[in-house]
Amino acid sequence: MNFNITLRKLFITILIILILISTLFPVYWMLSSSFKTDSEITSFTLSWIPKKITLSHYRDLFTKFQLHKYLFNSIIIAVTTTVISLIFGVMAAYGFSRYNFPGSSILLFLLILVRVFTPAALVLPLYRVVAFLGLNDNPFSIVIGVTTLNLPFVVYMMKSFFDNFPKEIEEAAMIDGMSDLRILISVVIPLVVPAIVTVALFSFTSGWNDFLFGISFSQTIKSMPATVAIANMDTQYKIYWGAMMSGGIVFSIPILLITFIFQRYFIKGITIGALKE
Amino acid sequence: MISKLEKNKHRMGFFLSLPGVLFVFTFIIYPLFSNLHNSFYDYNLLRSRDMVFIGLKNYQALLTESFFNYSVIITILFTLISVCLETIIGLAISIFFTFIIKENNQGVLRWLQKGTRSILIIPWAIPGVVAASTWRLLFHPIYSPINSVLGKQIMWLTHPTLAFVSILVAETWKTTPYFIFFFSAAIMAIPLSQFEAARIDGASKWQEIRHILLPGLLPIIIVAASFRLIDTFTRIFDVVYVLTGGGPGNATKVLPILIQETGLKFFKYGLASSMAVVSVIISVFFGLALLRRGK
Repeated sequence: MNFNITLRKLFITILIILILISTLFPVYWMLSSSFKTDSEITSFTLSWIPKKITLSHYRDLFTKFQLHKYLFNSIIIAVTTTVISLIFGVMAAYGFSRYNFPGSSILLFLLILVRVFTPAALVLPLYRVVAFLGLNDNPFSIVIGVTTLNLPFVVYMMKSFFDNFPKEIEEAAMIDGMSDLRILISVVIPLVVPAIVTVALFSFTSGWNDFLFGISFSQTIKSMPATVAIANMDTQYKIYWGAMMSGGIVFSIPILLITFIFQRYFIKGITIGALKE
Repeated sequence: MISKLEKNKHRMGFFLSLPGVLFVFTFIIYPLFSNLHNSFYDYNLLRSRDMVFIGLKNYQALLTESFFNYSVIITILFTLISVCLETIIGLAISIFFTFIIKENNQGVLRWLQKGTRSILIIPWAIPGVVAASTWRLLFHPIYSPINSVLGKQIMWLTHPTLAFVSILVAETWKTTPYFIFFFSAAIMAIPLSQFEAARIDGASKWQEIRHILLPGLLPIIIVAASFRLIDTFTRIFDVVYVLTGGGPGNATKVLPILIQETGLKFFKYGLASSMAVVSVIISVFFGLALLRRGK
């Protein structure tokens, strides 16, 4: 009996370790490669642990590859996407949730339908819209693309939060003589901050991780996000493996930190569909 | 009769929704119609700036030339296989975790399980481009640690079938955690009393999973899989772009990559527009079907 339990525990432990290895090995490989010299990465004999730790790739990132400039573009894109998505998205979601105005259900349906469009199909015509607006090679061209696809998602999420939000609080505020807009800004929004944080995180991530609009719209360092810069380290002549791996680490750290700090909110965002109904 | 108060309320709701709706529709409706319009023209920026009306010739080309059909099939195959894999692995891991929690409320195993759960969020959080560039190194014919373990020199990214397997592996690695979190939350919502009742009746573990857990989870499985089917079909881009670039040849040229490339690399706007129209029709058709089922 006891032997059986020990065997079971051993089995479970082995399974967990297998899950851990398959999850973490690629991350470990990126991290360890980023500290290896180029000749060690591309040597015929594989080294599981860096023989000699070098920081040269990290130095190259900020000198030769100018990664900080691309990171700056990524920050602008992610932050602007988040701000526009939040302001427009929260307003629209509240409108859809609380005021059953004529045509609201069809508008909402069309908005959510956007989610099933292929983003790549929008790239071509948007490219010309962006040129028409004079936003050529400007980070805001990427913001337009990402936000257009992100807004419907924000509206959908926030609406389901508002739907579950008790109406009694607003009714009490209305009896106190507050206007609708005041109620939204000073009563409702402070009470749905956790939901807003969740939505903000997802919006920020979609801006930060964008690759499609970045590679389609940006031509130079003026607007190019770090995702494209990292992909471009694979040139026609040479792949800068060390820079690519260290760039990947630097670029992932902010988003990983945010994810760990706000883990609860992310999981809530993922599972919002699971717990409904 | 609609009262004045109600009318005011309608107006309020409309104005609140307006900016968001306007923003999205401006940048969606124009592209949609522009795609539709351009798809009837021969419009190749490399040749000239003129557009020549050619009717349905672009669509005809899509039907007759194999690369488009191939791309549609590859995209659908990739979507189905990857979502199936992710669902099965995600389900297995989340059920496995649930039984650890139920059996060991304290102790090393519980602690390990908790830690693993936090760690599982990493692949999901890492940007697609970064994940793909790491997998490129992992699949490199010479520097690959995978090949080193297998003791063979496998050309992962230059062999058509293996390249397809490679993008599947990378995508599954990245997305399975989504399913684990989704399913774990759903399993937690199943009342424990159901399991206890089954155990009193002498049910085995497998019977518990088969007759209580899976039926209870089925609606959730359908919802999660539907979401991911739509997302994968429409949004698979960065992982494939960085890992294989659609190659070798056209082996992994999924629809989003084909459209982007035809338009912005080869500047065949007309042809790319017709592809975009077809892909939107496919995804809206399947999307609506899935969304309806998901409800």
